Amino acid sequence: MDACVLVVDDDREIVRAIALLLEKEGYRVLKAYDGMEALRILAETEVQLIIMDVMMPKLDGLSAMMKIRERKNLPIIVLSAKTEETDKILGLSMGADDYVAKPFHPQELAARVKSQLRRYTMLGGIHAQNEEEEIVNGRLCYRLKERTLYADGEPVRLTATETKIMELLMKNRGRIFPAEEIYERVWEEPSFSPENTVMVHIRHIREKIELNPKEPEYVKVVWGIGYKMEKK
Amino acid sequence: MDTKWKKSKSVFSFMAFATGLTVIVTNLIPAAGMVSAFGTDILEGQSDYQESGDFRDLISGKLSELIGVATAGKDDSGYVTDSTGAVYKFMDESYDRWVEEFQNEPLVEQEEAVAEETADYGAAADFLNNLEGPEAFGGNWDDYQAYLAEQQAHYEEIGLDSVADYDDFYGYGGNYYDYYGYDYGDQESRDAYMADMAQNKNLRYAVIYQNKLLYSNIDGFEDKAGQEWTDEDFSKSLDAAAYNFTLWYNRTGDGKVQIVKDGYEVDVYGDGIYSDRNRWRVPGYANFTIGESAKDAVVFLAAAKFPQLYIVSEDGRSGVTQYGGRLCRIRQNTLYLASAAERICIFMSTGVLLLAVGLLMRKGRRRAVEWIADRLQKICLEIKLSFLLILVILFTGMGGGVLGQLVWWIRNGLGYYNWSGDYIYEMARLTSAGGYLALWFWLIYLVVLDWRMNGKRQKKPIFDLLKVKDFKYPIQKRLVRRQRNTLIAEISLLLLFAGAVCALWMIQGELVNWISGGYGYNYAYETDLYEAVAEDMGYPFHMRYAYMLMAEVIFGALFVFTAITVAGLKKNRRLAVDIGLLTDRILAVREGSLEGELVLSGDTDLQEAADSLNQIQKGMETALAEQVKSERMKVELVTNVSHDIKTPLTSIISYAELLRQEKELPQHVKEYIQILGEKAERLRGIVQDVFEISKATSGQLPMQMEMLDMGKLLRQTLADMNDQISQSALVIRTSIPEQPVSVTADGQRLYRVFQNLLQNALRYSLEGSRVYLSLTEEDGRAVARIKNTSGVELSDGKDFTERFVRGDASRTDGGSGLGLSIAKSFTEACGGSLTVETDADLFTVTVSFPTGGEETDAQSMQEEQAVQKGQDKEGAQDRQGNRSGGGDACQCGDKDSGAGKNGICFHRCL
Repeated sequence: MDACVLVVDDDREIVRAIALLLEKEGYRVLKAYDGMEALRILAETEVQLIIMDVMMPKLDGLSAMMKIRERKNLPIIVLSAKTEETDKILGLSMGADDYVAKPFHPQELAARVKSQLRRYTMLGGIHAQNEEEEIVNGRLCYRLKERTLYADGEPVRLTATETKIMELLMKNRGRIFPAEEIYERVWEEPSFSPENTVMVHIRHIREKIELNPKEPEYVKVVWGIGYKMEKK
Repeated sequence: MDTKWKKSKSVFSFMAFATGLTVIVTNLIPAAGMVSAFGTDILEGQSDYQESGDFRDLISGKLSELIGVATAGKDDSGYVTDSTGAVYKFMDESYDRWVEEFQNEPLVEQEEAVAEETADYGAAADFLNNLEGPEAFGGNWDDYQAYLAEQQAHYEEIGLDSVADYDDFYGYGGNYYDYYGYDYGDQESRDAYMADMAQNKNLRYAVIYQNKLLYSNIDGFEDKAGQEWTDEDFSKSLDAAAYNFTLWYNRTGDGKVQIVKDGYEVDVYGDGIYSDRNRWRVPGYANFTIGESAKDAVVFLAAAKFPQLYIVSEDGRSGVTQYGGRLCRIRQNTLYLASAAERICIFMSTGVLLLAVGLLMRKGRRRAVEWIADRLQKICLEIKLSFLLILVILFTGMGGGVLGQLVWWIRNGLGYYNWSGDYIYEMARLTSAGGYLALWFWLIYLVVLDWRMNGKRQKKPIFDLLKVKDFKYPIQKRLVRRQRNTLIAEISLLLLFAGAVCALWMIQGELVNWISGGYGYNYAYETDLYEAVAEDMGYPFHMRYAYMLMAEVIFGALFVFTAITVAGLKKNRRLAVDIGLLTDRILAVREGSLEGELVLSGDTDLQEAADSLNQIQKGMETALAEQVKSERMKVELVTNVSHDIKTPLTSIISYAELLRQEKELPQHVKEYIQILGEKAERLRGIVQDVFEISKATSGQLPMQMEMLDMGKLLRQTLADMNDQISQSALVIRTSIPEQPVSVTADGQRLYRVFQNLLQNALRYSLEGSRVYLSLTEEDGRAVARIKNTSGVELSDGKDFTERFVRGDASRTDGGSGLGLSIAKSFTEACGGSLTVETDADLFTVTVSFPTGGEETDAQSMQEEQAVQKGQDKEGAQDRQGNRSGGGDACQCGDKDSGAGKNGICFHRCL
């Protein structure tokens, strides 16, 4: 596919490690070590995705991102050692498409890159389809007629039960379902201590659709109440 | 059916108990009287009136009179001077003792009154006897009528008309000779007395002096002109069956008395010594001899077996006179007393029987008592108290000091029949007193029952109203109100006592009499008599002046009191205002407002307190600023350090991953890389934990508080950790209730708490042992307990919630040593508490939260229900909005929250 990824971080070892990882995945990687350099490269080369650290000399990540956003719409993944919710929200609101906290798992980063690229390059066409037949929620898209869930445009292999759960959750994004209700509506029989059963399926679904199943972004547990599909 | 039986059983047992007690209490006084009269003839229950003391008294009295009549009062022994004086003179000593003993008792009053009235009787008799007949007017009827009217007016003027009432009331039957002095020396007076006595057919007599028959009312009895009198002379003239009692004085010339009753001679003298106890007060004892002149007299007396009243109409005087009344009455009394004694015995034994039955059926009675207590509980206290007050006033007032009389009766029993002579009247009083006693008893019983069974659960709406109302007002208003209430109370008391003083002046004696109450009856004598008695008894001054003086002194004291209150009113009002300002300021400081100074008006009493508060405020402000600064520095330090660790850690993890992907490495190198990866991962965890814990302990951790079901949360946590649990060699036993246990907490944090605790249990438990997880509700708190058996020996006194503390000291296992510490700080940040207990190898962690939660306003309740039903989609979405909104509002450290400076609010986030 030969997508070109620009990696920006003042820590050269990190840039190198990311570059090595991504090259193994088959991407072309450009490196920059501060914001200014990143802007210069962007002006010269066609880039499909940017991975950028926040704290950098000369021009920090957030400022650079604002500059980029003035002209370009390519996906930007922000890296930061700051893990607080407020930092994350700040990053995302200033134009980042994703936010990855340091220290990250290389595989997770690679998956996120892949996801962002797919959405950027391929999903453009999806929007043309009939909106009544599909429910789109961030990276996810559920096609009602096909009864298939797509993540980043790729169909996800779900079992029949998992599909039913996802259909229920996708149709009611944001609403919290107690385990009993999920059980009764999916299995269509009265529930008795359904917590374990439901949780097992939810975990399997997460492993299939979440980039980091340990920190799910879509199928979430509302502790002490139930489960829900986060509305993106 | 069963309950119906139970009900009737309890009704029966209580009725038995109550009736038994009532009967016993009602008859208690007569019974006590009977017991105190033990040994006297009353108790012997004689139905024969001739065996009664009164009969003996009467006969003894008559004998002395007849001897007096016979000797024309010339008895030199002093025995016969007059009908009463004779006895008293002889018994001087005992009379004195008697006076002393009873002089404080009501009957003295009566006696004195009688003594006073006696003069009036004499006057009345003289007056009536001296009235002219119609013949004196020579047949002129009009003149006679005018004369009568004139005399009548005079009669009323000197107050004689009231005497007759007294007569009827006390049953002397108009025979006032019984009661006052009689001059034996006067032949005319003797004849008049004997003429009256002759009318009395119940008593037959013959008075003989020096063998000459002077007086007799025995039919067909005639003087034998100097000859000796024999038994036959009497027996042939009298029907022995009708007159079964005969007394013969001086029959053999020895000055002694011989009594024959129903044909048998009665032992009159006993051991021959006269004492108060001996009821035959007749001459012939060793210490009671009679003068020589009396030895010339012979008296014969016979009493009817069944005495009757003889009504005789008199010529020349309107109306009738009755004779024989006293004997009749004595007989009636004797019969009545005998039957009364019998009745009392029957009543008492019935009462005891019923009471025993009631006491035996304890369960039923208890149920009934509880039922009554429940009914009583429903009546509010104020009504009960006022009812009680009214009853007490009625009882004490109306009974004329019933209690005082009761004591008197019980002490004296029926012993005073000696001179009252009217048993029926007294018995009636005793019975009514018994009724009073029963009323009192049940009243006290109910009060005690109510007190014991309902003690604290009394309904008192009026008191409550006063209380509740009071708290609605701010403190200054409360103070002013209370002061006003005191003033109102004082003024009303003042008015009350003013009224009392006026009333005392106005109605004087009667009120005094009523208040003093103790003299119980004989109101007829009114105050004159009362005064006379009081003075006689040597009171320093009259009681009513004492009452009056008392009332006046209280009135004066109240007046001074009220004046002082009024004087202090204004100053206190200002003080109340200042107190209000002070408390408002204290409240504001508590709420976190440290700005502004409390300024009170000029020379207030509270200046010092206000200054102190201002200083405290300043001190707090400074301390708080410093604390905030140091907290912020601490968090900043941890943030910076963790950031500086994270950057190199990223490289380590990344290169370890790259290394892992290298294919042509020897096996042992691959293992090294594996270890490198794992440790780097653990380091990552520790850094994250340290970061979070520092924020949590400094109160800067963002919280999203919401109502959640702790049971569900535990089940979710278990399900989430299912893989870890099944991989371990442990079994988790859970006891989580099905019904929701609602608490208000941040679900994500609480999940971390239980995740940490369970991981802890899984990691440190003895292999193959069981972990127990339970959730209970105790005293309004949701309590979750995790118990496990430690794999390594636990040392005592170690605080496991301290950072980096672990069961064993080696630190080689996978934990960060922060698990429990995080769990504790997260729990506390959510408003709960976490405690760790160790007992040998048993490790128990208890997490408890208040159930429900203060934030449960109506809206969130509705939402909760909507979510529970899982049907209202709109509601649920609203809730989403609210959740994040609520979370923001509750973030400690949020710049907007509270009035606290520097973004610190004083409340813990709840």
